[in-house]
Amino acid sequence: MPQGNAVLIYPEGETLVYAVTENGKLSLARAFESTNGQQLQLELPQLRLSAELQGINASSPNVLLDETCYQMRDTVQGILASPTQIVGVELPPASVKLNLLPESWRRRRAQSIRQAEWRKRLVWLGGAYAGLLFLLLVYLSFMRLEIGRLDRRIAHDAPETEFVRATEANWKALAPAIDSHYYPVEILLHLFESLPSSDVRITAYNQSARQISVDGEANRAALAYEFIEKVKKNLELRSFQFEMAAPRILPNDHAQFRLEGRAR
Amino acid sequence: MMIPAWYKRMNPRERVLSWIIAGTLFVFLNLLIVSWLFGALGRTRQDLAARKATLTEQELYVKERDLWTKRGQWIQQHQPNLKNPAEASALLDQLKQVAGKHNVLIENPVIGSGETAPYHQTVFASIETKSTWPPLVHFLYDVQQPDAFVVFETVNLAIDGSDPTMMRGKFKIARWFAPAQGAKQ
Repeated sequence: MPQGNAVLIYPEGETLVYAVTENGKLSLARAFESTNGQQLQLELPQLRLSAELQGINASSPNVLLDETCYQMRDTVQGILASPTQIVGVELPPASVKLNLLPESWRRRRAQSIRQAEWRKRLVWLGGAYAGLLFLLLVYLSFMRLEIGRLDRRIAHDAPETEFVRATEANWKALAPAIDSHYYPVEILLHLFESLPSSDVRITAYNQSARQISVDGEANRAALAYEFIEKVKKNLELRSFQFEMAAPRILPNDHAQFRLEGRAR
Repeated sequence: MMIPAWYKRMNPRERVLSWIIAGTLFVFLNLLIVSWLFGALGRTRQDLAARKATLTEQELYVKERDLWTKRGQWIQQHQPNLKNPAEASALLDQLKQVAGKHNVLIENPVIGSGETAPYHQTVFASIETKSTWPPLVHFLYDVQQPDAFVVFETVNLAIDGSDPTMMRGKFKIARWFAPAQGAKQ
């Protein structure tokens, strides 16, 4: 499209189009039903006048005439008093319903497109899967490195703690001799402190170095359960873990029970 | 994409079969990989937790080093050494002495040497007692003190069937001596 003002004249189907443009923008367009020069001679001056009345400068130095209207060149030059250039106007091909592509080819092309789409999806899926595996491997490697780092720290601190470990093991092994929490007199005292009332009696007491069993009798089963709860809560007996099986109910409704304690 | 000649030579049925086999192999291979990976992750996580626990334990040991040093020294200073086989007899004499002090009757005394463990070697005295409850408590209290390294290895206490005011006791009382030289590190 030329710069400045231009006038284009070209055929479109059965009509002849007259268009005025200003800097490439369409200002006025009119279609004439007849494409012969006489008709143009009659209507073009009127059209130019109406353009001028609308404020459009129709005296353009650029007059472009389609090559198919070559025979009207002199007529147009005479009317517009400007040199006329012959140009070729390309029109888009008309849409037609006719399709000569064979059906099998069309199906094959659709199939190829679908395959390409699926291939693309599979590549994405495979990539995501591989990425996930890679991330998991990285995580595994990171944890292995962390284990290695901790191993080095443990090995570094080991000589310092070896003595403490050995002493602790020795202390624990000797606990029945040196820790009063394992002494029968202390355990008996705290067991008696835990008796909920005089209705609960201890009838037998057995102890080995690290195990205790207490046989007793309570006027009611509930008292036996109360006793075991108190024993479990007694902080001075925390060196042992106590358990009690369900008490045996005697003919006089008393409950016979046995507490068993194991060193923690 | 280049299609191999061997694939081109296959008929559609063979191609489907080959795809099924390849797909199955692929799935199994991936199952193996994923199974190994998650197994390794689980094991590594456990190892990591164990290392962290060990490190925490070590830090605690370092903090408590002074306490354990004192305890170690105390054991070394106070745990008696087994000098001769007569230690069991000495233990029984000591028990008789304490029992006599509190009017606790001792019956069926037996002495012997007991087990040798990494942290101690023992001699023991087995006794049966008959007394009321208060003297028995005093007897138990006097026999066992931390620096005496005396352990009641077995205790059986019960009310006397013939006299409910009396307590019957069966005790195996041991003295835990320091282990033989070189057994303890």
